[in-house]
Amino acid sequence: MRRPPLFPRLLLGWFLPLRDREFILADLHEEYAQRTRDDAHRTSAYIWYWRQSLASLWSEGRYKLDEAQLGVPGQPGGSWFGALHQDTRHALRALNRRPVFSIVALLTLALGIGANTAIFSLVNWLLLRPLPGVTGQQELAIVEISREVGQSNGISWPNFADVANAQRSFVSMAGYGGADLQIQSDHAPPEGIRAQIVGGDYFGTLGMRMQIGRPINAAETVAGRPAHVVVINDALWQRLFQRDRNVIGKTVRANKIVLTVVGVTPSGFEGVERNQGVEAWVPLSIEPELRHASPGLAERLNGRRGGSIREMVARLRPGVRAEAAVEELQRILDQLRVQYPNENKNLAQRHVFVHPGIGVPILMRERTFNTVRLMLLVVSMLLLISSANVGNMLLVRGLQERSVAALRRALGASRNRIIGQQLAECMLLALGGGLLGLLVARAFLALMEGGQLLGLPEFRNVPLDWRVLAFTAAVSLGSGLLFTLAPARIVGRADPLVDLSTSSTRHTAGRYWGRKSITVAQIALSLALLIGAVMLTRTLINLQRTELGFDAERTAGIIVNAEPQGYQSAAMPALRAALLAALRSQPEIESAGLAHQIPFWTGGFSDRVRDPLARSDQPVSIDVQFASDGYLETLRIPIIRGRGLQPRDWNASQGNPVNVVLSEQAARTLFGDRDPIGQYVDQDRRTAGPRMFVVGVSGDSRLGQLHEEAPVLMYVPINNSPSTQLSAVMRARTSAAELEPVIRRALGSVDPTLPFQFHAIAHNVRNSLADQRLLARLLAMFSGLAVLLAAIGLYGILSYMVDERRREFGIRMALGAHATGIARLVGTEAAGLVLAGVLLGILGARWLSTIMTSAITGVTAPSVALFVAASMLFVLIATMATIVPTLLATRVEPSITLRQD
Amino acid sequence: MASRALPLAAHPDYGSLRCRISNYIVVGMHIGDFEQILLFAVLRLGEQAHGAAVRQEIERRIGRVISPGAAYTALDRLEERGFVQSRINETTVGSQARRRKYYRLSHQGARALSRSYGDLRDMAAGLLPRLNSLIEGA
Repeated sequence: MRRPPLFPRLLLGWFLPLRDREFILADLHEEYAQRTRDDAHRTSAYIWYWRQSLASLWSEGRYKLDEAQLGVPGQPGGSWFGALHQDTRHALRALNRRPVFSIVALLTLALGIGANTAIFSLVNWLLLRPLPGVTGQQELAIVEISREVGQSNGISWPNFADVANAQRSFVSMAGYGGADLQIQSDHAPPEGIRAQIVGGDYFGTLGMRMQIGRPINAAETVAGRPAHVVVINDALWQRLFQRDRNVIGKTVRANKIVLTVVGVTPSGFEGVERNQGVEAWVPLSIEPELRHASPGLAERLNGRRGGSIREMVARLRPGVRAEAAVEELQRILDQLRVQYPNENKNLAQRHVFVHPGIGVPILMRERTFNTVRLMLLVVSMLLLISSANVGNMLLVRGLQERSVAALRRALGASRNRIIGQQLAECMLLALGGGLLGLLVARAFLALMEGGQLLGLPEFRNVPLDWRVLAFTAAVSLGSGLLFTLAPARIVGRADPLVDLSTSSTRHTAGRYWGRKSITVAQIALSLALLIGAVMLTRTLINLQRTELGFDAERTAGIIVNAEPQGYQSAAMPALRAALLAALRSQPEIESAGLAHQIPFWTGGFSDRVRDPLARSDQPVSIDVQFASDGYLETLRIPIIRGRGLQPRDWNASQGNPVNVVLSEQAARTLFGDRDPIGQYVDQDRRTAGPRMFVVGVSGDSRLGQLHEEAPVLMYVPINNSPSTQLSAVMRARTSAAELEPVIRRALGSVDPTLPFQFHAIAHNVRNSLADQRLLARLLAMFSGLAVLLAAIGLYGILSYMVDERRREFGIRMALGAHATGIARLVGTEAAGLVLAGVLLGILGARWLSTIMTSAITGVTAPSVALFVAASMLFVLIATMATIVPTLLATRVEPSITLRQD
Repeated sequence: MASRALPLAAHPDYGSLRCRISNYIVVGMHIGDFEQILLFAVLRLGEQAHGAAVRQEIERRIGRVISPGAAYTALDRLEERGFVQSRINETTVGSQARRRKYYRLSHQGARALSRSYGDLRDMAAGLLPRLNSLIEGA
């Protein structure tokens, strides 16, 4: 039989009056057992149990309140409601009596709780807030029909329609895919935005009501029946129409096509993935027009083959599991393959993936989860340490107050009341700590302001909303319970016979094993955090020192997407030449070059070439950077041998080899020690492409990842690029930030309808380490606090021990023991604690490091030297914490100490 | 009198002592509707009126869900006022033994219930049609 949830049971056991406790618990237990007989109802039984427990406590409390109003005197050992008031007052008095204790405890708790609150509010802001306007978000899932998870190969519209009609696992499903739109209203220049192409009832599936207007209907998305409509979000409504309420029915031009605005989404909506900046939605039926598709492409977009719906969002039918949905969709796909064997050949390699939940892009989910887990783990360690410290302090108090408690028991107070008072005191501390913690959280958040994580937007004004407050309350109460347990036990066990007949000095070494284990745990946790922080900082420093291979200062990149304005591949060479000439004619630009991939910004191409030395049959994988003359020079990537790319290399005539430049790494990989200049490289393809003729070797440079090896890179003249994307790098004479208007001017002279994106490259390089930098900062901050708290804890227990054993030391010294002997006694005690803590801490750090390597790119496993160094540092700190108690021990004056008894 | 040093709650006479105190203070025969419902349920169940059965009976008949805490507190209060008497019996549930608290309507309770319900019935006499017309008219 399944046991009911622990926490409500404890609450009931704690607060219900003795008289009915047994019966209420047994009744609840019995009914809970009946309810859980069926596995499907486990959750509802669980909720039922909680509800009944709370309702039972509530009615007990109300009864007490009635009784008080009717004038029935509160019964000792009775119920909690009347006692609560009294306990709270008692606790306030007790805390007031020891202001230093109370303040230190409050601050310690506030640090732990504040750190947790800060991190939680970040997580809440980044990930937990429900998507604006979406209803029933927990039933939604992302469906992907792909070769691999996250590839989003997609399926065609007819296949999607067949699948959507045949399936029964989902209440509804809709497709979507990304699109670049260049959108303009009547008087503004075009602006490039991110949009989504939707198929089926996208907004209906999300359960979304438009802010104004209507959504895109499923009928409007049917391929082959174009409907020229667009739904825009709040931000775009503001930019294009200044929030004009009469926007419905107005037109915008998107990629030169006139579209009618039919709806505005609720404020803050950016598509099914948070913070992705999608601002408009258009029906699938107009995709060919928006892409200025040639008849062939249009056929591919609309026909049964090819991919156009890349991902789907679907609402699971209640009670249907994701696995069952996967099976069903796979079955339908298999049928479609049999039904249309020619058109649907490609479905053979497609698999169905159903990812429950929306909000985080599929490919980011694992990393997001790992990062969040790491951050929460770190702060919960800090909370444990601070709770342990407060627990430690209370334990001392508990031991001191045993005699008081014993006296009160002797006078007739029940054990529950004494524990209750202790509990009330701790809960007051916890609540106070929680309130202060909110302030601390604000401070932590201010320190992290402007940081970035997981490629999401910078943290700005992260709110403390009700979810955060609920979390803080839960954490405060949880930590309160945590640090109450041990002292409450001690005080609760106070026995008049024992505790009133002995003086407190009888408590010797055996008595405080509880405190010792708390101290050991503290040392272990803080050492683990310290090692983690050092690991991460070292990684960050290493990455920052990595040679970029190019000079990023004063350089900037632009990207222009020419396709939306109707440019086809054939028109690109002329456009490229015009753009480069225009950029070079600007006086503010020192030099410029074209390249497909802008370093630390966009992705690039890769290719496979045959081994030119025929050492093996395996092709060599190589990254390809399409570049013009001026690219290497602008980024100051040195030419080591031969020459760089030149204008005459741009257009190789048909049949002639293409002149290329290899990076050093590529030259080494392909040609070993041989001179590559004048050698040929061939693509590993069945259809023979042009041969490539090596004219030069350049220095290595990194295009994206600092933690990886320099890429095996080949520079190929830009006009061999199949892309309609136009991108360039340039070096400013003064500073990169000033280049944006210059570029607008230059581009305007080529084609004023082309919008562009602009980035300073140095900024991107710095941003590529944003995760590492933020986490390193957090870990450093938190591990520093942890070490401090652990040192305080160690100091506390040692000085307490010295105080307790004062009498013993006195006798030893009276019998001739030397001060060094006494110091050794204390030192041994301390060394034992520290050693145990360090050993456990190393184990903890190993565990933490495995989590770190999975969460943060570029972190390598910690070395033995690091463990040793961190442990030594810790021993040093621990020694300092030991000095004062040891000195105190040696200063014990036998004549005074012994006379006291 | 060594036993005087014991906390009151642990005193063997604690239960009855408490009853006596309450009896003197909470006087009168008035019972509220919730208590009436409880008492009728106890009456209806006869020998089988233990806490869980009372709650189930009420839920089955009028659909009102009562937490065990509410039921036991109210029954305790009724017991303190002398309207019900309780006894504790050992039973087995499945393979496990457990104790149940059974309630029985006392003579005093029967009188109080009869009077309260009678009062209510007298006040309601002849008013139902009007009540219904108000509900339908709304």
